[in-house]
Amino acid sequence: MNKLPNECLFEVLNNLETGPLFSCLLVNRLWCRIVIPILWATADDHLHDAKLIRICLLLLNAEEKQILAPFEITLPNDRTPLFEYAAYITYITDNLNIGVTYWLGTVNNSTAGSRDAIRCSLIAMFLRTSKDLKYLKVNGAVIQGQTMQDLCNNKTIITLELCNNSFNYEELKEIIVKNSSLISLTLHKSANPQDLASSISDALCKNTTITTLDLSENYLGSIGGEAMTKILRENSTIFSLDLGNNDIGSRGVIAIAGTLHENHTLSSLILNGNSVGDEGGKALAKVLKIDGNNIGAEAESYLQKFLV
Amino acid sequence: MDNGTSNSASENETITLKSCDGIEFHIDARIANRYTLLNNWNGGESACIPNVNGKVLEKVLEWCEHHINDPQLNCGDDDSRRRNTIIEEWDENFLSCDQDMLFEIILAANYLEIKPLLDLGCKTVANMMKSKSPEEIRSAFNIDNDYTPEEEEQFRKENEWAEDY
Repeated sequence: MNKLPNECLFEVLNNLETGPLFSCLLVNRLWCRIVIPILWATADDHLHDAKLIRICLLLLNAEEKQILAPFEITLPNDRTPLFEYAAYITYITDNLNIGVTYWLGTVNNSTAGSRDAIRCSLIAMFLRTSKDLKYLKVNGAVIQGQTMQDLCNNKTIITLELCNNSFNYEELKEIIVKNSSLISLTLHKSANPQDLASSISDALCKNTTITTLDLSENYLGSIGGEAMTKILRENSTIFSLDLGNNDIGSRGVIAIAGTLHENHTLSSLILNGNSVGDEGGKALAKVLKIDGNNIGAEAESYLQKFLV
Repeated sequence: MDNGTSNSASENETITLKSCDGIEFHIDARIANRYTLLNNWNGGESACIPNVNGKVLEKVLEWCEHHINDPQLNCGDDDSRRRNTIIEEWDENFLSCDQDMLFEIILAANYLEIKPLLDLGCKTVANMMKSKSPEEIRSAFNIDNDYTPEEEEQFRKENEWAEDY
């Protein structure tokens, strides 16, 4: 074993699951250095565990702890960790929320304010330390200021899902314009969806990396639908657009349909739950015909029914 | 200049490889074709493979011969983690040699860029570590512990969340 070069030892250890990796980590210092990046890359799989949240809280810096100041949360006060473990995490999912709730249970502090503050401080820490974060889902935390700035400047995240959040639109626009690694952006069920589409449409016209955009369940309405037309005309990278459950209505859909023949990149458009109506359906069917799809009258009427 | 001449080697063609200790092997040219590095050593009278001795090269070539009709895997989709560690029976028997030979095979596969054999060797070693304590792993592979007791304890605490999975 001592003859194997580190790259081979990495190949060996990279085959192991979490539990065996824990044993390997304690073998000696060299193994530890090789195991920690492997073990922590998928730490999110266990982020629902209060024990792991506790270690992550030890990684907060002074500013991130400041977010927690108003909530009288008793943070663990062990020694500073030997590694900046969070540097290796590659994805953060909803498990974070579950783990935070469990951890707060262990310190008998379960107010909604504490929960949100801890999520925000941890997300800020992950964004500050992580060198290889590719997927981030933020669900129901108010992220703003420095964290939004860090999202602007982040160069590793490919998929960003922001669900049940309220935004400062200026900060959100900045992320869309400045960030150049994002390929997939989800803004699902925003807490303040008024003017969402019109606020971000200019920014999305400038963005050239996002190919998948999910704006579902935002009550965009017909005004939002009309605001989407600018994106569909000027953006040429988005190929998948989810506008499901937005109450866009006939008028909004007609506006969208009117731009589709000008758009040559979009290959998937989701419009379920939008009260498309007869007129909206006809407008969409017309686009399909224009595009040379040879849709007959029967299919057309079926499509209309389906779209409503 | 004519590296590509043996690209369409037929079943009867053989080439000669020489281990670092001078042992010659006449192998099916199609084996060399599959692995760039083997192909590069093909031919020349004095050509020999440095770093790999006859005993190890014989094992490596035996494996290559058995797997000559395997589909070629694409590079690039091999860095996914947590691959399954199930190993076919023939391979398992093939690699149930002593530990020294197993590591020699891994080293040779790494050196000769025979990726599927490298993966297989690494999986075999990984399987030997499963359900062992740190101390059992150290003694199984003759590894020294250079942690201070305090350090070891702190690493244990900071990663104990992983212990039960």
